[in-house]
Amino acid sequence: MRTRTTALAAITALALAGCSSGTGDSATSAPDDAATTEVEALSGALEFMTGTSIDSELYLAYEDITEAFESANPDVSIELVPSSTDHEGEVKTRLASGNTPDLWMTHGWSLLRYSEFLMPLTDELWAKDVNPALDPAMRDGDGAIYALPLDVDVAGLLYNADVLASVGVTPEDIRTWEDFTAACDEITAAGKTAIYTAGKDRWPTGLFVDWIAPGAYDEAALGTQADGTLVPESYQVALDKVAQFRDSGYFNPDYTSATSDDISLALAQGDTGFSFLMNFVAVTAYTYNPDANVGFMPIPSASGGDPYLVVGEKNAIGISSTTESPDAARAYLAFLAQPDNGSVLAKASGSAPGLTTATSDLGALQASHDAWVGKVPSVPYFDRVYMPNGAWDTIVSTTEGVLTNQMSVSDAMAKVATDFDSLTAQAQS
Amino acid sequence: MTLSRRAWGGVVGVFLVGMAAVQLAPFYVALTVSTKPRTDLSSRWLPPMDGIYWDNFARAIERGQMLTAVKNSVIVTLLATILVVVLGALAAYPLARRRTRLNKLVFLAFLGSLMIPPLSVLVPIYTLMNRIDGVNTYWGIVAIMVSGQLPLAIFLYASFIQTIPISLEEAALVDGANRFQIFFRIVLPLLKPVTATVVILAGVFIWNDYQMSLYMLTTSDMRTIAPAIGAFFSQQSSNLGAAAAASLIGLAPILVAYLFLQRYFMKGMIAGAEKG
Repeated sequence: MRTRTTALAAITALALAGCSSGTGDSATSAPDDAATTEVEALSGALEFMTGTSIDSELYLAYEDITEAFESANPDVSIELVPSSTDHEGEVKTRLASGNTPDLWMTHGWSLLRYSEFLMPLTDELWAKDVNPALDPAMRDGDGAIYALPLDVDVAGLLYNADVLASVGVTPEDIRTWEDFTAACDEITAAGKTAIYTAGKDRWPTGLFVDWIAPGAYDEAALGTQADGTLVPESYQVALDKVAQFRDSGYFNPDYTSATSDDISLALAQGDTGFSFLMNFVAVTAYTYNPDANVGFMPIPSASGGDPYLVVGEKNAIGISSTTESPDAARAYLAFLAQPDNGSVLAKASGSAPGLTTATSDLGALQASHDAWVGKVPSVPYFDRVYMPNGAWDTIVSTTEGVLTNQMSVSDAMAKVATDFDSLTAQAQS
Repeated sequence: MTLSRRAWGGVVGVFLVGMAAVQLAPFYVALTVSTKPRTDLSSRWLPPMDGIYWDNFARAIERGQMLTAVKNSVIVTLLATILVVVLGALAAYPLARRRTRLNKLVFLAFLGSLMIPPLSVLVPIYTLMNRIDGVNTYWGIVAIMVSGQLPLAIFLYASFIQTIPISLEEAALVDGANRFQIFFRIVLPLLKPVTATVVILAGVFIWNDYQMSLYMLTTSDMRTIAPAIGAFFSQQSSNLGAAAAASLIGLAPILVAYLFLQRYFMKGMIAGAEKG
């Protein structure tokens, strides 16, 4: 069957996998002259860990596009694997056991964590079209890239505009943390939750550090920390803020049992003013209540600088360096990267497209996007760039400790400092 | 006296009704969530006011492939439970009857393995299964489930066999039966109560298993119930309605089995208590 070649497959192979020319692979390039002779069809079985649930818009889009790819390449089969809530744990187990999937969603870590397991994709045709906003997060010093970004994760403070309006505040009013706490006081006085967060899912709690810390560091301090020395007085600003929010009664009382889905519900129902979460939570809020008035705004800077947005990699797909079907995998990514398909996927993820050739429709979040993106500074995810690999658990547990008042800020800082040093030493050894 | 007994009965009745309500509350919430559309933001305690929304069930069956998942769970649970019972009883018999030093050590080793948290061996087990092509196969997950449940089964069987008078076996020996005949004709029939306990404990655990099945069964044609329900959840988006509907579909076979086998379930639950 391997030699069976249909005209359609040949054309597709040329159109899609031609981007891999020059990298020395044989199966997709024509043996003699691509224009006149038949091309060997792509073949292979690929497993793709999508990192999304089985009936999400994104998964449905993957299914449609994958079906089109398979019908154009009948000898390629692609198994889409939906995710549980622990996509990261599943990927780690697979990598640790040597049963690496052919493709997986890199959830923000294509460069810093997974690059040693991934095939460099810098020479692919679509690589030059990657949204430049992603360069700091996804390209290394030499400009190499290891995953195809479908979208860009642009995040700020999520808000429910109706709740803010009910206490006479507009998002544009909030430029400093003092403005923010004044608004929170008003919302709390009105009997609503000022900041909704989720303790059951754990990870949302760590985002307080990702959101607040970048504004507490100056360039020199960021450089020091990136070089492996913690700057505790800057880091502590984030934990001090969490302690202040806690003492002011801003958090939802059901913090311990709440999930990120509950945050979406609270935003959809107008039960909360703010949340420190990514925009997909707002996208989910609109699925609960299409008439909700939810948006995102830049995060105030603790050092008095301009408010900023957090920008990072979200749905990006990497190819295992050990895949048995590298040509089929690259052709598949090239197919996903086609402008039409890239636009469908970016729209399904509810985010701005990861490739400049694609377009997206952010729906109700478009207004926030137009108001802020490109107009305020953006920073990368703090933990990914300025904390050592493996520090996320420490970030979450210490912030959680402060938020629930089970840990003083100084105890939390001591734990952060210890773990920072040991993880940095591990990384350097 | 009669009155106070009646009053006491009333108190106990109210308490039992209260306990039953607490037990049934999650099922009630699953029912209301599964029969309402996503955009219905009314309290989860309220029944659907605008008629039952069947799409969640359709999604669970079509997208979640719950019927395939139920079939897979039945196959895995039946095979693994039968193996746990057969192997557990066979292994426990010599351990209980021949109390040599080596056998005592083996028994302790089985007991010790009960203390190992299953997730701590996830990566080694997964690696092994991957090497022997056991991932995404029935035999692979059955092997893991059987090895996970065997220690407890051996412990229960061995403890039970020790309470059976040895004179029964000696009588059979005198009548000319060999060891196998003694085991299959005399001992095995006496193990019915503890077998019911083992079947319930192992069967329910295997039916409900999520973590190992999640890693071992990743393709849609192999997934069992728990990972199939889990596929409706992810960090970025979850569909609670479809997940609740999928849970109810997964619950149905166990419920039917329980209704028909209630007598045995009850017996099995108290069997251990009787024999101490």
